[in-house]
Amino acid sequence: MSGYRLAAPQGAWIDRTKPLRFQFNGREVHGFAGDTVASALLAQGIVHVGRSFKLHRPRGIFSCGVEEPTGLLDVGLGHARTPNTRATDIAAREGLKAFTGNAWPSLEWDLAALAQRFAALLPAGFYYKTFMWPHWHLFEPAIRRMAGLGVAADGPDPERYDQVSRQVQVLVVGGGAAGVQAALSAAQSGQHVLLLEGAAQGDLASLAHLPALRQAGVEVHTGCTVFGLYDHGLAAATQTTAGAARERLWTIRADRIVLATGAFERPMLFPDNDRPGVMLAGAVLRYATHCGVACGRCVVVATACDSGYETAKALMTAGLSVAAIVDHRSVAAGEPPAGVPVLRGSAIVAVKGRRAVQGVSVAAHGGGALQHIETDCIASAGGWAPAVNLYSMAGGKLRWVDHAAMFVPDRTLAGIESVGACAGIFDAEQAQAHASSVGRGVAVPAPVGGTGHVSANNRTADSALAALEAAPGKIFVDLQNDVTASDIALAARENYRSVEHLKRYTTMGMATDQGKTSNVNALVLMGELTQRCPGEVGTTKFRPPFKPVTLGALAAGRTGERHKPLKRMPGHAWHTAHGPLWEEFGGWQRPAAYPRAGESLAAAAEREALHVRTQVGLFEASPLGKIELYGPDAADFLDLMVVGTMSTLPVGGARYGLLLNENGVIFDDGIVARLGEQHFWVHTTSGGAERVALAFEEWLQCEYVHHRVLVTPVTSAWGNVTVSGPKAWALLRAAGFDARLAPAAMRHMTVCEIAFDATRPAHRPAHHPAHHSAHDSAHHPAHQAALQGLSLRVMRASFTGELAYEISLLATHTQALLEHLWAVGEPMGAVPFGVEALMTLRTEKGYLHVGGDTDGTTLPGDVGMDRGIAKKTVNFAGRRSLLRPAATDPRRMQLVGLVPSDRRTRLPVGAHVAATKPPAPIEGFVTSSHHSPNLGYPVALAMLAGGRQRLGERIRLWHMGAGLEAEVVATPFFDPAGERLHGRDT
Amino acid sequence: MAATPELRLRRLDALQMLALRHLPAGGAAPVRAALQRARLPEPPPPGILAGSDPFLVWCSPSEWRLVASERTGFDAVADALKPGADAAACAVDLSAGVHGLEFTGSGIDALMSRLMDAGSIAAPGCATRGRLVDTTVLQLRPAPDRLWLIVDCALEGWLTQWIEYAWQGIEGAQV
Repeated sequence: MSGYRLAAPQGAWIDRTKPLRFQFNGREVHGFAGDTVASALLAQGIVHVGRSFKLHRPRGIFSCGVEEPTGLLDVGLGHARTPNTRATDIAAREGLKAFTGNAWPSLEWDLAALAQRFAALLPAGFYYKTFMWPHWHLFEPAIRRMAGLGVAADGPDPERYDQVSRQVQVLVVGGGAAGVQAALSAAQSGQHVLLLEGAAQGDLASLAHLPALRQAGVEVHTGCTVFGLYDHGLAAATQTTAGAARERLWTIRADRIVLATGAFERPMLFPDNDRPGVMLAGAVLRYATHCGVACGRCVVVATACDSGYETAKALMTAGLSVAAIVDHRSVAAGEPPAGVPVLRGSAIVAVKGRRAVQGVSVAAHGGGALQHIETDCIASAGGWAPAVNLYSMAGGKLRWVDHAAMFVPDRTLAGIESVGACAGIFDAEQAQAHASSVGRGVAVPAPVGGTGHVSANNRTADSALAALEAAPGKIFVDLQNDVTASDIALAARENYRSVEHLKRYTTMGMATDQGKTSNVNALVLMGELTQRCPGEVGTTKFRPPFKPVTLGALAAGRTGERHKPLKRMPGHAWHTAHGPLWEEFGGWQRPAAYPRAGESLAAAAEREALHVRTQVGLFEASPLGKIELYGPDAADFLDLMVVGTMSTLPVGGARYGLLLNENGVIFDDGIVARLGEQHFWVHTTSGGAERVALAFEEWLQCEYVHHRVLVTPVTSAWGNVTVSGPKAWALLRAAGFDARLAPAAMRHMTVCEIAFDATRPAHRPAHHPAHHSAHDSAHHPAHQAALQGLSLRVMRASFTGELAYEISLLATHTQALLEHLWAVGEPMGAVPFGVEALMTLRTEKGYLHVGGDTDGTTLPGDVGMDRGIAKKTVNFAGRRSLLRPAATDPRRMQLVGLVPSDRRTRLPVGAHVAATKPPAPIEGFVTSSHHSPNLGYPVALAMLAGGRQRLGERIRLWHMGAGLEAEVVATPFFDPAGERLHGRDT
Repeated sequence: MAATPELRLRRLDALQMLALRHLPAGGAAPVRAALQRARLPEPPPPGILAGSDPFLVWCSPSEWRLVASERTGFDAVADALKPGADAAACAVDLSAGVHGLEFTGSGIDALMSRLMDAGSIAAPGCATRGRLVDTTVLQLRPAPDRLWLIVDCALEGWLTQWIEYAWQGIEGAQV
């Protein structure tokens, strides 16, 4: 095959005034604007472009569109490399670099081609049968390396991707003649129409209609392939763009979708039908007319249908030479072009040439003498397969039309109609009329037909092959996966008759082309082998994507900081100024710790935790969930929702409580504070506000419908700064806080609302820079000026075990309060502390961390919080479930403390408790673990079967195969009497 | 904040938002009365945007949101419905927890269709909640060429990232 460029007017897509150059395997290739990589390669006579998947046979360009099974190239370099993409679907552009992805050391001399010598060891499903001894894993890496079709990019994709959503009345998919007609009719009947065409420039017929389409108000986009249809009229498409973005992802909601996706040509099945130079006949014609490329100097048309004759005529009109037509059928309605010999009832039995076609041998089905024909291009026309992929994705069923040997849509789906070739309509006039009706919204039966008689089985007969008097070459059914006719026969012999089994066993129809050129031939062969018609064999279910879509297009910008929503705390800037190590906790970006130079995260957390126990620390707890509950029945409602009793809380009181689901399982915890008789303030876990508020609403709307309660989540409106440590009150006093907050005046688990003015002189140390006498805010630092007359909700509650004040205030003022407290506290030895230190401190105290120490099975009794439940007089959500036998089983896992026996080895979170090395019955697992800087040894919390009955017991734990030993102890590990949080020494 | 001939963006620095709640069984009379006293518009039905800065937006069968670019008129309503003032209704000030942006110009739909489902973009005269790149936003669209976007203030950084990205997407794009 020695392709060349045809003279104008051939080549409607290319602009001969705009030449371009690109590289293929380092070789310079010349083309024109409008060329695809494939057309430019063919025009330069380059036919051998790749190696096959399994046997590494030489392969060339086979088609002219998205169905391409063999012309697969890697495009770009380094981070921008796109592997395994279709040369037929990439626009040639100046400077582009394309490579063969699976040949080494070179395309011409590929070492892996030695696999062909061992082809007998590599039949369908070989990996189930061979390479099993001594172990498949010994062979797997090498086989996988050989089987790859490309090389992935070596870093983050530098390209930019766009996405756009659209809502239209009518979406027309495909810009061929039928699609254009449907779009025009729909637009002329007043519909808002969007027409998407996958090819960069559309079909010639549609190009001529572009002005009419625009005049009718049809929005047309080319290079835009619909790759998926989903429920409720949702379509997804990917568009190659020439602007700042490489690709654009479209999501389209349409009232009506008209499919005009055309048809794929079926290849002929003859020996060595995979040689470079064997191509689909329609592709050979399209390259000639659209790209001005002759794929060969002398073409042989191998056909099993009348369209082969039409293609031969059109090729000659375009200036190509046709050496012969080899017709599988004995009778044909088609007329050959003048002077072209037709070999009826015959088939190709051999192809001459390995890396390029040099000739063919033809024999009659009954055998007899061979005819040898010199050719460099075999145009294969085995019939047509309507592109029913999208129709099938949408749930459509298919039916087999025997005389045309094709599957067509069986019926119209709600809101989805097919027109033109994808509906099985190949008569141009009938297709136009049908498309026009469908476009107007008039449902009419599709006039399927127009192909003439097509031979379903176009495989070269064994009797013809006998004429060769030699072993024939392999007959490839699926070129992309190296699936041969003998592989199909093997699957049938081994009873993989179901089409789904056939696909998985042979890999037929998998990978980038999804069997667009192979499925029907494989089904026909399987039918012949199992005495079933193709309709009885059926098809596999078509699934998105219709063509490969880059992950970048699907992500559409969701990378880096746009990967997922991460909330920022109102004091974000203050933390940033203190050099935190940021981590995500419950959807919030929070400081894990504030490491000093050279300090690790663990060391920083331990330093901060130690400091909070001895001095004072500042912590931003703004992510704490906050819910306002208001209404005459708010107290009663909270009794129903929380394990503890809240109705007895006095105004200004606060109480810890667990929240359970209907199964009695803990789903959140928090503190409920009473601000007024009918007004409560509920703190939930960080990130738990939404689920708690939803649970409240659900119970109010579904069960407690007569309760007069209003639930309003206010998490983001309120910030929270927590001051914790023995010197917490000293810091607040110095910062100007009211003496009512002193530990002696304000008890633990109480709340008060105060007005705060940071500009007021208070008990600041005289040496402090914030100490001055002027009251005028103009003389105060900005953060103090921002804190005048501010309403605060101050709660005495502690998650560290130390004296602590949780100060809630408007989110907009949180930064200012942090700055103010820091200005006052830094000279007093205050430090900021992060979530890791907080976790260390709470673990030392044995405080529960919902979600860390609990899972979807944990009941209050498991964590030692069932005291008082029996005495509680009112019902509450989940109560009944706590009475089930499983809930009261003493062998349930219970939260206990663990201390490593050697007092040195930190027990890994997740380590399993088992008497012997797993696999063995698991008795429990570690849920929290920290090195305690205050105790000087590691401590851990664990769920342990019957745990509270096992205090003092030494247990074995296992992690990653290593054994550990620990002692079961009671918690808290630190300050068991809980004296410190009262701050009595301050 | 940013501008092109087709689209301008302004941050609503002093955005105010008040949740006006009433008990489902109690009816909306207390809320209506408070609004009337403050000479604010009648609470609208679902999806409809009432008023002209201040705006009123239906949020649920027991809630409206009062939204404005400044505090004028807010305190009267907030005081009338402060918790404890009326047993059947209350107002909760959410102003500190929201971040607002105003878009003006003909390019609003081109930008928004890159950030959310086209079917969720508020039509002129409407106010809707929608999903914008995995977060919830409240949209108020008083006119075809004017749109307010209100988001949880903790997600301001996320929203900014996406608007910048989408904005670059429409520059030079033909759709």
